[in-house]
Amino acid sequence: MERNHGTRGRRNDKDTEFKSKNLFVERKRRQKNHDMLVTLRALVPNITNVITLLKKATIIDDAMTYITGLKNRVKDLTDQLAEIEAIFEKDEEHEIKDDITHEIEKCNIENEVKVTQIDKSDLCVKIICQSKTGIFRKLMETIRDQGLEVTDMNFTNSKGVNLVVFSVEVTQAKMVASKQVKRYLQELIRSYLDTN
Amino acid sequence: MYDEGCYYDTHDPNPFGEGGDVAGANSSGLTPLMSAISTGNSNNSLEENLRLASFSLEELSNHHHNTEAAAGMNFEEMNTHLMQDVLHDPDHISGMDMDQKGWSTGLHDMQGINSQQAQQFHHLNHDAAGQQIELQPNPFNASYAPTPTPDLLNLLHLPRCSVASMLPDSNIHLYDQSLHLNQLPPQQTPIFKELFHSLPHNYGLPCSRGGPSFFGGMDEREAGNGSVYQDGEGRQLFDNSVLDFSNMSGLGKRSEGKGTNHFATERQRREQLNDKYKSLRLLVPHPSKSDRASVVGDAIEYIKELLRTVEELKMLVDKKRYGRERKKLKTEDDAAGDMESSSIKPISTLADREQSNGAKRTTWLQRKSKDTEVDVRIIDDEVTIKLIQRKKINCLLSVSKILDELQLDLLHVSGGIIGDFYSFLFNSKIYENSSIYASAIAEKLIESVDKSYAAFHPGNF
Repeated sequence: MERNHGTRGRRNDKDTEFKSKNLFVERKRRQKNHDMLVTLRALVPNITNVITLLKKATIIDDAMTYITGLKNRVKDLTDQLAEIEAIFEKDEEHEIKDDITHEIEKCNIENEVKVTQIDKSDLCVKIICQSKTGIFRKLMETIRDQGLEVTDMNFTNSKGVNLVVFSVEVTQAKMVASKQVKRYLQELIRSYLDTN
Repeated sequence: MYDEGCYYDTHDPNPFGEGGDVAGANSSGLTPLMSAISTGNSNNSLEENLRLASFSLEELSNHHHNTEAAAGMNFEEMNTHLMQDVLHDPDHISGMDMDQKGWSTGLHDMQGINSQQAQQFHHLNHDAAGQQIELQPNPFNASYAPTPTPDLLNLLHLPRCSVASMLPDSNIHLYDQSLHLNQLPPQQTPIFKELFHSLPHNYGLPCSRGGPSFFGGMDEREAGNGSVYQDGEGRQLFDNSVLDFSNMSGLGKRSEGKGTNHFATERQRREQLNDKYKSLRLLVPHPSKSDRASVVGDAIEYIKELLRTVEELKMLVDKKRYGRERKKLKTEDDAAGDMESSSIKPISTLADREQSNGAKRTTWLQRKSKDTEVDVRIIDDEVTIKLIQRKKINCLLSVSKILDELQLDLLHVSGGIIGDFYSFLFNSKIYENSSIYASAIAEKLIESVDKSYAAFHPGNF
């Protein structure tokens, strides 16, 4: 196999063409395999036996032990982290901040919802509102409840103000009037922002 | 014919650390010797050859420590050392090609010559055995004056040494010809098998057909079977000697006739290797193709990812453990201060800590499932998530739920339907004291998206 490295092509000196048209591809493939193994070897720090350092089998064995070692380490660290989390959890609850909301109140931006019909079953919605955690999720829920499916989404949060521009497609058979959607969304925003 | 005046004091071993110098000495002394040998050795007298070759043995014994256990180890180190010298420095091998093919032919030449020398060595060893200062299972215990010899010659002798040193329980001194390898108890054979497999096949030795033949070859010479040896061609020597060697109980599989059972051992070796590739593949989270290059490639990427995760987790644990204590101290100091300033200060102390550690947290990993691909990158406290989903479901909803759960502040979302895929980009900010880490994000996302897909299209699962 690989021992015949150079012989396949050189057998007949008279022919200048190689006997096997696949030779280059094969060689390249073997070279790639070899290079991969060498990279793997370079990456793995544990060495079981210096003599068999470059043996395919050793490389793979060392890599396997290293990977399992790393996995265990990750597991340990995650457990540690969970432990620490548990201990300190009580202190954390009141920490949820909204530094950003302070700035909004200075801006006086009004909440706004605009809905336009693009196609017979496509709507484009634009919302400007105050930012609050979980509002995106609420938005998505409403869209789903309305039987709409998002085709395009753009959501930005700048200094506590949300600008959401998205297009939706009406997936279900019923005709959904843009005004209806608009109303729903406005209602949603108002309720969400007011209650929280 | 043998100059007995050249006894070497074997109790003065040079520490192995001087191996480098010796190798240098080797190389300088090597070239004339090599050229002598390669340019038609038959012209030189056997005596000269013998002396030249014997010098290498002497040189080698310099490198051995006196302890039995160490002898094998050091010899193996020497093996690699010498082999590297030989392999990597083409200047040494004047007149020999360094590519495999040339290597083998060169060795063929060498072996014809070296076998003769080896033959002689053994006789000499026998004679000198009684007179020598005993150095533990060191086959090169011959007392010859020091001068380097072709490293190739040493190469040929190498397996003999490792055999001896790797059998701690045996009383084999390799120059003691009465105790053959044949007489080893069967329990020793696994070690031999290991030895065979660990032989450097890729040195293009003529015994590339397999280890056994090589050993057998040595064995034959050791036995002093002049008749076998005088077949002349080194290769044939090996062929004949395989017969003897396969008599060893339990070694390889028996076969009729000439006993070249290389198919079986080679097949075994191949199967073992394939099994190893398979098990490596199992370790990696999502292996894609099952060809060797991809398996190794996946393993490489996975190792890198694991290293990043370990770093990240270490940093988080540290931060958690010590950041809190510092923060408590700080807030107590600011008790009288402004609400805002005290909420800002902890941020800066933590940031200072991170920077004094010299690093901001950076992680990156990718996770794939059947229909979903997730790419999570974290720099400091900002998370960028790229999500690609093959089937159209409203993944935005599930993603937003997860993000809320994980306390990630959405800063930016964009994306949409592209052909058959949903593709989205999320930028979010981690809440300050949250200790979320990249793999948790990725895994939760994939899990929930797949779940919602299953809920939507139960039939398609």
